[in-house]
Amino acid sequence: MNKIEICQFELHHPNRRKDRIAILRCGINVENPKVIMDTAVFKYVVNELYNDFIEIHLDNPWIRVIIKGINELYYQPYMPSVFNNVEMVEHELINTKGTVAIFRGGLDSEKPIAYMNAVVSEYVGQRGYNEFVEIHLDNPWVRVVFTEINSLKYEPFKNQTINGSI
Amino acid sequence: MEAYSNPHLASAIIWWLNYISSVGREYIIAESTLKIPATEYLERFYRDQIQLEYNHPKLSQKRFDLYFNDLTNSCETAFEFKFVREDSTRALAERKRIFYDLMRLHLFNAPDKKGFFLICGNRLHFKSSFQNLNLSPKLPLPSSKPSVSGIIKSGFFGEWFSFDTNNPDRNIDLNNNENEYKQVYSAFMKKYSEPFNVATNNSLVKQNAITTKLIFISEELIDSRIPQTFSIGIWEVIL
Repeated sequence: MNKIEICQFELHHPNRRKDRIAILRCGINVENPKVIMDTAVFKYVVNELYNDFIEIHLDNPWIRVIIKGINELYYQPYMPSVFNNVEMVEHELINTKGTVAIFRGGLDSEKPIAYMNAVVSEYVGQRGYNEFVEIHLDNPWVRVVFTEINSLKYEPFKNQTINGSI
Repeated sequence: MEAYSNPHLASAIIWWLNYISSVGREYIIAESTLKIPATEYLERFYRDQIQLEYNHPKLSQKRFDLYFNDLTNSCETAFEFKFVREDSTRALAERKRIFYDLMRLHLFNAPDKKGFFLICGNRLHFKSSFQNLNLSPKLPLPSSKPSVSGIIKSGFFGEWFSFDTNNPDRNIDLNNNENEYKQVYSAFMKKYSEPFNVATNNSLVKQNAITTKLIFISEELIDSRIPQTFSIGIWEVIL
């Protein structure tokens, strides 16, 4: 699997906007996955504003998560009795038992990386998961967490765009 | 025998760290253990000229992590080491310590003396807690505009260190009035005036600026299948 594949799904907004998450991935045998994925993201987002996430361990240049409208999602407090000012929005992934959750918080912590690690750890429990952080690695206050990401249904990436139909 | 070079020193340290990590002995990795691969490399050239915890000539009771005397080139060289951990450099105390390292090297500088700052750490921590350290929470998230070439960003430490090999010098304005820097610079004068006076019998004069120069920064090897757990950077504090 050397070509690029994409999986997109819409996010639920309180104001019924149709923003979305897309997962782009390419085969592990490509020679320059970062360049290939940069180009794919560039083509996908066209002129739209977006946020770009990479796997937190920095060892997987073959996959990217693109989110449009991340600030407008319907965030709710996450375990307020345990965590101070952490918000989360969670979506079930269609046709899988998995979820995608976006967390933001740790603003009052002197150690936001450790704080948000604890939040994610609490959320996933014993489940397997994939965790993503903003590509510039300057924002420890936001995490994107997938469970069952490998059971998503991908399609070939041709000319899909962030504003196109799904 | 090839000549001493800072990129080779960095390479020796980074692959030693990767080896130690690969064999599951990460618990021994700390700022002090960086001296092991550093001295192993330096022994090829300066076996009898290496000293650890070397007394600073102008600061009483202050020491460099590593010092060696390059007799061939008549140059004394000092190194300060730092190992960045998750969130460690976010605290004001640690940011002060890094600036103190730079100033100790600056005060050491002379035509026949050179000072280098070497920092390394887990790749993620190096990026998020050093190279791109952002002290102000970024919420709501600023979204990106499409750019196929990506964006070079740097955070708090971008004021002190260049991460761009095409533009390696960074002139640090010590009169910067932004509070997050001003408090660091003020703390240095308060903490180091007496040690300087004791060692030199002179008063420590506040500098207007110092300059650092990027000497080496490890490549990201993001497209490589060779696991690389650590990143490293070396800057010279120049005259």
